[in-house]
Amino acid sequence: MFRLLRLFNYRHLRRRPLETFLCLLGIAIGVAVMLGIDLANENAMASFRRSVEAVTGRATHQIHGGPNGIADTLAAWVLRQPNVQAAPVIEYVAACREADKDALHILGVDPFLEAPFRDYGALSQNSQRHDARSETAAMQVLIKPGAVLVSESFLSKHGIASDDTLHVLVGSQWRALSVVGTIPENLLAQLGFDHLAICDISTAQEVLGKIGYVDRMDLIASAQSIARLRESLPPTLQIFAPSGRTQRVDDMLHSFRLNLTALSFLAVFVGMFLIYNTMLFAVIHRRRQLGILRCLGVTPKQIMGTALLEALALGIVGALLGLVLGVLLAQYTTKAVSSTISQLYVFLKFEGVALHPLLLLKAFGLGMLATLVATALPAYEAASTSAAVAVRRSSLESRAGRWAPKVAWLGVLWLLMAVLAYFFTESFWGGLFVALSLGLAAICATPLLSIGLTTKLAPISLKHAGQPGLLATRGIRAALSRTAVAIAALMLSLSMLLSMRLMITSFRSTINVWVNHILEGDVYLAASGFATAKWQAKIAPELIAFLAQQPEVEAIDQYGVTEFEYRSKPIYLIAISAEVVKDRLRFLFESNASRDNWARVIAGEVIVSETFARRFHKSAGDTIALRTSNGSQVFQIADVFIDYSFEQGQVMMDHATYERYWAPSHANNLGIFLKPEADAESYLAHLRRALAGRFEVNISSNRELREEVLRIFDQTFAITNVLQVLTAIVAFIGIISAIMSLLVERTRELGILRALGMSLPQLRRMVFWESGLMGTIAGVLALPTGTALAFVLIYVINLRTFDWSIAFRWEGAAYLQTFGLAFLTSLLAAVYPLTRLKQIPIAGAMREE
Amino acid sequence: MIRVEHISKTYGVGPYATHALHEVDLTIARGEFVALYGASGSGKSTLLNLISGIDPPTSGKIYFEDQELTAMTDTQLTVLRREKIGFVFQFFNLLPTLSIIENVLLPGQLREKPAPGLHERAVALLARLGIRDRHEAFPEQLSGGQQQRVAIARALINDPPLILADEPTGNLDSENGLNILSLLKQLAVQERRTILLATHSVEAARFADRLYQVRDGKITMLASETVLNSLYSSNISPSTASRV
Repeated sequence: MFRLLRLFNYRHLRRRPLETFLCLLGIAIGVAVMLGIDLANENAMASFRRSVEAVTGRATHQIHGGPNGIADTLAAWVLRQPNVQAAPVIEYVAACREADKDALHILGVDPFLEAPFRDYGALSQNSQRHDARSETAAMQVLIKPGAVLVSESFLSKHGIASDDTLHVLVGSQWRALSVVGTIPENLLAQLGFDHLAICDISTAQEVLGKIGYVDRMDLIASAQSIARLRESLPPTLQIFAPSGRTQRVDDMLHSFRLNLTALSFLAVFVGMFLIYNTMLFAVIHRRRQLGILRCLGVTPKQIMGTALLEALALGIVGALLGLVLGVLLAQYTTKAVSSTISQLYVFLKFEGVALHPLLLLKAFGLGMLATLVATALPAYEAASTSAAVAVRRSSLESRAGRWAPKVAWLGVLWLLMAVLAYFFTESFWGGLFVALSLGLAAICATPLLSIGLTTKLAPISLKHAGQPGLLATRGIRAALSRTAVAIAALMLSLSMLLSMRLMITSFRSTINVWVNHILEGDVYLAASGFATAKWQAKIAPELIAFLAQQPEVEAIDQYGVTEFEYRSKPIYLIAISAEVVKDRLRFLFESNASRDNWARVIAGEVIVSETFARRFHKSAGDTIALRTSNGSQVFQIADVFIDYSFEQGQVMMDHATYERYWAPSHANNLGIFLKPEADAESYLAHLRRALAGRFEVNISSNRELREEVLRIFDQTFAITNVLQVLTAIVAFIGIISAIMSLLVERTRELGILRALGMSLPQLRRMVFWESGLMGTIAGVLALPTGTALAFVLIYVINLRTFDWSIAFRWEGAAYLQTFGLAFLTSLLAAVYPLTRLKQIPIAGAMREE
Repeated sequence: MIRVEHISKTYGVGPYATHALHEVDLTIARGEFVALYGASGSGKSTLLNLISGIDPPTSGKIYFEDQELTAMTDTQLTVLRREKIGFVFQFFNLLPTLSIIENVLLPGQLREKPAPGLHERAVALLARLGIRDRHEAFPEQLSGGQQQRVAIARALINDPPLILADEPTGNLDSENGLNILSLLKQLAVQERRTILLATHSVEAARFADRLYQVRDGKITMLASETVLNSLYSSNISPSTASRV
């Protein structure tokens, strides 16, 4: 019996290949988006993790110092500690000129102390490759200035000989390194890390401009020895587990990744609508047959079982298809995510997409779960089909009509849930729940609002489209269980598009205002090394001295960034030239006391960004204790400023303050203010000529830098756009599927209409009108829902995730576009079904009951 | 009014071909009430579908008021159905999403330019058929007999000269069935409309002027106008007459 039922379902699916395909596509897109995002997140992090693992070796702990690292004297102190094996390390990621600016991870180590820590061949005394050649290379690394060992694969990949000279970009200057040997593949290959260069610590200090400092000390020691060491550690030093570094980057990327994950869940959610649509249609199409089966003695349980089995089969095929699409999508998303992370947070080298079985399993499982959940209601419908219902096709519809007000009340309940979640939660997930509840409220309201709108639109339809128009409005009401679902899916997708658009527009406009306030310089310079070394890329002091002597230059703001920690969370210390900016930049302060604030900053106080203030609950007048070279130091917060550079939070101070408490200050970027009589354009051209070949810096005019800021902003949201488009496609397919099914189901009605004298053009008008009305209703409902979701995104989710205050900006074009898209989508969705109208069998339709 | 010449209708091809009608000839004059009598699947409905232009014949010609149906385009056939033919079906085929008055108005409003006074005409038709008070109700709120009367009102809204009735009493009890047939008879006698009735009931056939039997795709006259008129007035059914 069960086998026969399965056959019954299978043949139905085969007889409706398009609908089956659309359902599979719905599952597949949902699974693909989820997998695409997961793989992008995982591969990006894996790339960073690999680089950390590759250079960590067997170290059990690491000691970190202040912003500039650990002074040689302190490093020597660590080396003297009993029961602890220690080794100094300097790390830097630089672009290599001979390798088309491919990144090279430079590791400066002490060859005499290295053996217990890392196993990179020539420098390791316990290396298996102990031949005359590797010993010579080891000696050369020790004695030859600028000598370096480079991984074999890196050299061969770029056609570099093992005795060539390499030029690496350190901050704003190219520095030469002599290749004296290679690092064998063994461990590197295992770690999937192929761009390593090892040199002596003194070479690293010299080449990387870190004379007198090392970045960290790697340790191998027992827990007790570490505990003893911790007690005697000077206040500037801190001990971490090696995993701490990955954890910090994880923390840094937390919000960014969370947002992407939330978006991928949304795609699955919209995909569920499509599955629900198809499965419900499958039940409705087979209602008569199901009734007959019930007459013949098939139990509701058996019908439910086969319906779920059918969903399971569709889920398996759809999810497998989704895995293939997801892997393809991951090629793009991983690149996009890696590029955004590299630009905004930490350098990541894109190393292709590795498949993670657990993630594949997760996406597959979630796809299956979504399919089964979406099928539950249609399966229940199928099971509750009574024998008598076989002759009453409209039973489900009349039920749907009666349920509409009840479902709307459920919507009110969801709205209440949204309000409660807003007031009683503080986390990102709470914010997401607010958005989800709001979306569910809108979905629940859709059937009742659709009835209301079609009632209102009926006279207009009759007036403008005649009888076909009236029939179209009635058709939507008559098939509410399907039309409302399709309208809701389109409405939700459009709301999402609108809310994202409003959020991005508002954010962009806020950024624009901010940029106009803080970018007042005439010319801007940034160290080109930033692309790989991030804030370690500093501008050479010689360049600053050169610029200061230029007759056109009135003042230079030196902007120095240091990665820092506050209460175990990553933040940034920013050193600026307060004397220069006080009269030139229009910082957006919470108190509006600009001049007074700068005087206080010059006097040694600090200002903090609003993200810092929100994250750590600080405000103007409060104090913060920061770990300095002289131990913990309390700083007074002069004011809070609005800033969108770093979501982690910033503490800004004058260079003099930084130098007093930490180390010699540095600059990563320069803002040059020219004398009034100087012409910015000609000076820019002159500067480009003067610095060519001497310094590697990105020189931009004020306009170019503003454009660059907005370009990076747009690029950050590129992946969001792709996800939105995919979600819109799912909703579009939902509408096609709904219209197709409506036509199939209403074959008899359409046949009667044709018999009564409705011409094919009138029939087409009716279908077009019906589809257009569905789009219009979805569009009308999407406008308030999208606006409400935009408010939630801006004032709840964004604030809880990034702590940025964004000013909401109305954008008429976004509303017009959303409505236009709704209308266009629905009309386009009707095109294919229209081609099928000619095939309606009039004679057969009329005799059916 | 209607001339059917040597028409055949075959469904399917090759070994799977089914001959629904074979070389059928039939002529019906204006105001005649003609009944096609036969069992289910005999080809009655197929003949009605061919005459209304819903289905094209495989061979042969059909003329409606001297216009050749088989030479008409789909649009011309649609206009013909809309303006010259009224349909009454076994299952009423009212649109459930439209109210009674809207159902009746439907064929009239499908015209590019609806006739003036259409609504008044619809109300008058419903009043004549005794269901005016239910004009705002929906089909599912009406009994079978009432629904069939709505279907007749709908068939008459465009004042067509031809009414095609396919088993109009097949889904009704005998009292309601007789009422509907009387109504159709009235339309033929009083308004000189042509009625072509397909039925498997000999009882229904006695209302006709001429009775044809359709069997295995062929048509033969079973009773002439004279015989049927006497049966109708004497209230004897054709089956009883044939037994006598």
